[in-house]
Amino acid sequence: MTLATLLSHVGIAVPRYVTVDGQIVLDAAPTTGFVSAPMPVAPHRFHDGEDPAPERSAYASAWWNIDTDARAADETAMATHFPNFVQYADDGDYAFGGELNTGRGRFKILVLPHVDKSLPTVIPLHKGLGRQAGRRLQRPPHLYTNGNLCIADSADWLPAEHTTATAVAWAAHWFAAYTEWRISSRWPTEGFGAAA
Amino acid sequence: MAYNRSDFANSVMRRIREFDDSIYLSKSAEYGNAAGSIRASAAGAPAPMGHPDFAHLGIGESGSRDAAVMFLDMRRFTARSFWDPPEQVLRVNTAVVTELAAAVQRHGGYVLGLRGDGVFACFDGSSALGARAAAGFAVVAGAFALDAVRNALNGLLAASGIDPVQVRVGLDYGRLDFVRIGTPAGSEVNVLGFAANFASKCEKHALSWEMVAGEGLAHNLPQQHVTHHDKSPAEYEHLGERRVYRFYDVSWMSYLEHVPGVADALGGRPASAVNVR
Repeated sequence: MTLATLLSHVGIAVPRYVTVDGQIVLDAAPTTGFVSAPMPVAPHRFHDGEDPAPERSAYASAWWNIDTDARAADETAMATHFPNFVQYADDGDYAFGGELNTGRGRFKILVLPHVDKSLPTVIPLHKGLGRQAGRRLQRPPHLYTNGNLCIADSADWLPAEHTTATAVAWAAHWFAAYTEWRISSRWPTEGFGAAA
Repeated sequence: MAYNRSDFANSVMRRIREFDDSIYLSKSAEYGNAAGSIRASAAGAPAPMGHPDFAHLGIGESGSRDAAVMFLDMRRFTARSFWDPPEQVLRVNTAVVTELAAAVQRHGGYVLGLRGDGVFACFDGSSALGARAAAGFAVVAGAFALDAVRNALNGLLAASGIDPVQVRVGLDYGRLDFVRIGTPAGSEVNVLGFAANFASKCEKHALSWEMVAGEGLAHNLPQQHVTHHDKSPAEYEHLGERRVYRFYDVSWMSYLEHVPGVADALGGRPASAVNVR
């Protein structure tokens, strides 16, 4: 993240990748011989405000229960890029939980795809996200009012193209920015590669 | 916690304290190589100064590389060496220059040599990211040094009854020629090239806390990061032909927000190791 923002500052377009354990890197090459190559981070912009997520119900008609190809592709993407995440499938539900390691801290998240295949919800399981400002805890930017991560604008999400792994990569980017904000009090980037 | 200006300042003060007169002679060998210890060899021996790609040149052999060149030095140190006790000048000079060199290395540069009151360094531009990345790392290294000295070290020096120091930076970008000069009994790799000469000239134009860059480097930074220097351009005449070469003030403060974490992210690797595929 740090190198990416520096290089962007001098006008170099820098793609970003996320490793299997959730670290944002600049290089697509695997770091060790037995893991898959880092996943490119899709264009997105961090956001805030009210969480636009729809209610999670009516699982019987959810895409993951009626579109077997889409579900298989989604599961494959998660298994490839975030193999340490655990899938939850109780009562027709479909969700993933796991830990992201930014290199400056580990953060557990729950990722909830939505029945209409809209932008998944990312719930941070870390209590008390923020930085100490005197005696109070300063809330980080780019959180929805309900405390969920605002990993992207709804328009950034391309349901025919993106998978749950896309959302996890965005969450990794969010936490990379968050850990830098904790140190410098400056949110280092508004996203990656998306039109303003 | 990422390497920061407080680490820089505390390290300088530690060196000054430990550089007591009574132990100076016995310690000098150890500290003389401290700047190179960031890239120590696997065996633990300090790495020599210079660009490693040209360390093995034979006498008379040469090679070249495009790079951002930096001169980073303490201003008004000559006057200080006239008035102050030599032992104190030596302690402060050695401690500050050593840490400046280490800071350059931590931010991706190669220290090519120590020049009295300062550091001569380059940031290799041979990576796929090329000149812009090398220029960016050079400015970040300079910005870190200027900020660390002004806003962290000088307070500690004053608290210790030592006059503060002032630093400045000169930069340029272009071809550097590395040639080994000398005899079998003793030789060194000399670094030549217009970019090196002009970076030195830029350093002389810089006042305290200023960063001045030749057009070779300035043109690799976003336009809004530089402003034309009052004394620019330099004029060169040869066989009736006259050419000008411009130089610029660099708005280095805007780079400070990008400093935290750069040294840790590089982990002792040079700027040319950063790549994007």
